[in-house]
Amino acid sequence: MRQFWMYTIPLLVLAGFMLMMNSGDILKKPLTTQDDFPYYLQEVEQAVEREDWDAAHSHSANLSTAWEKVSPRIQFSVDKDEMKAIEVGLSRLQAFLQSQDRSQALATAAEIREHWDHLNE
Amino acid sequence: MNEGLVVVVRSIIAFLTLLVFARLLGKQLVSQLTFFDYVMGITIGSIAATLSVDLESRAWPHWVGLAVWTIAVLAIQIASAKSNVAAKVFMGEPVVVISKGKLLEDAMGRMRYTAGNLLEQLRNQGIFDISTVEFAVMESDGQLSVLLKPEHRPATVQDLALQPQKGGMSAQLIYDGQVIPENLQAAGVDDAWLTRQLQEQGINNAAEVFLASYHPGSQTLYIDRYEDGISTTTKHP
Repeated sequence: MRQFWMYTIPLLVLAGFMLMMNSGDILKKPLTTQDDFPYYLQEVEQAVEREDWDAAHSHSANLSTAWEKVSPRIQFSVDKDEMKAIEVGLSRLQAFLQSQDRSQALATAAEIREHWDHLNE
Repeated sequence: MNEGLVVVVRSIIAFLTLLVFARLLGKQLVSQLTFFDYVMGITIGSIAATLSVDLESRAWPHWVGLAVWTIAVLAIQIASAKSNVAAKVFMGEPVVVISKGKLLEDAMGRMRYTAGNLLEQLRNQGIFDISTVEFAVMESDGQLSVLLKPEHRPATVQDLALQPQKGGMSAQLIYDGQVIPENLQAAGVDDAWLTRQLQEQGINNAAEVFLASYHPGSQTLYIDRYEDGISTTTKHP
């Protein structure tokens, strides 16, 4: 029995580590309506396309909140550069919404989506 | 991203993974490692360090690298254990550098091994006169094995026609003031015998003893008391 645990425990530990290091794609999925990052990003894009700047600001705030909820749980399995790029992108998006720059806001949103999609690669 | 917390978690992953992998690779001592084993060890350690603190990339690729290098080393160990040819290819083979008292310069040259290196390794073994050496072999782990000429070899018990003492391992009967009953039994002695031995040396309680070690072959008991009568503080003049 002791021999069994001598092999099983290290194998379980290694399996746990493997799962943890690859959990980014699972953990970035929304657990509540408040942390649905892709949904709010899409809402921002649609509002910018309609040039509905108030709605865009509101969805952008929700987008930042969603990111604050998602980032702590994915930080162990994704790389720092992608997370930083999303954070910088969110700040730039805020600035372009303030200045009501449609094309730059859409370009930044697309950039954020690209980083989001490749978080775990 | 809480970088400190991420480093803590990744360090735990690296540490425990390295612990499991090191146990998997076996119990070779550092002194027995070949140059190849040594380089493999450094590489695996370096990957583990990167896994721990390099937050620029995900932990997973580093972990895969660690696993691949460990599996590669394990594969080489298994192949070397099963095949002599593989062992020669991967681990190298012993090379004779002194034969019948003569230096083999060609063999030394192929290893880029100088006479200075040879003399140094001989000195490390307490041999200061190369003329006393009959054979010397450079082992695959870099150690030098030396056979002295018959007239310079130490006399053995057989040469002196003496009756050798019985061998065997010493057993710790008392450690840190505590008697170890299972070792008493294994050494074939009992509590009463131990108490008598202690009393003969003026010790009334096992708690006064730091270490008592008994060698069943020679039937000698070594006792070290906490009170050594030696001052450990240095007096300045």
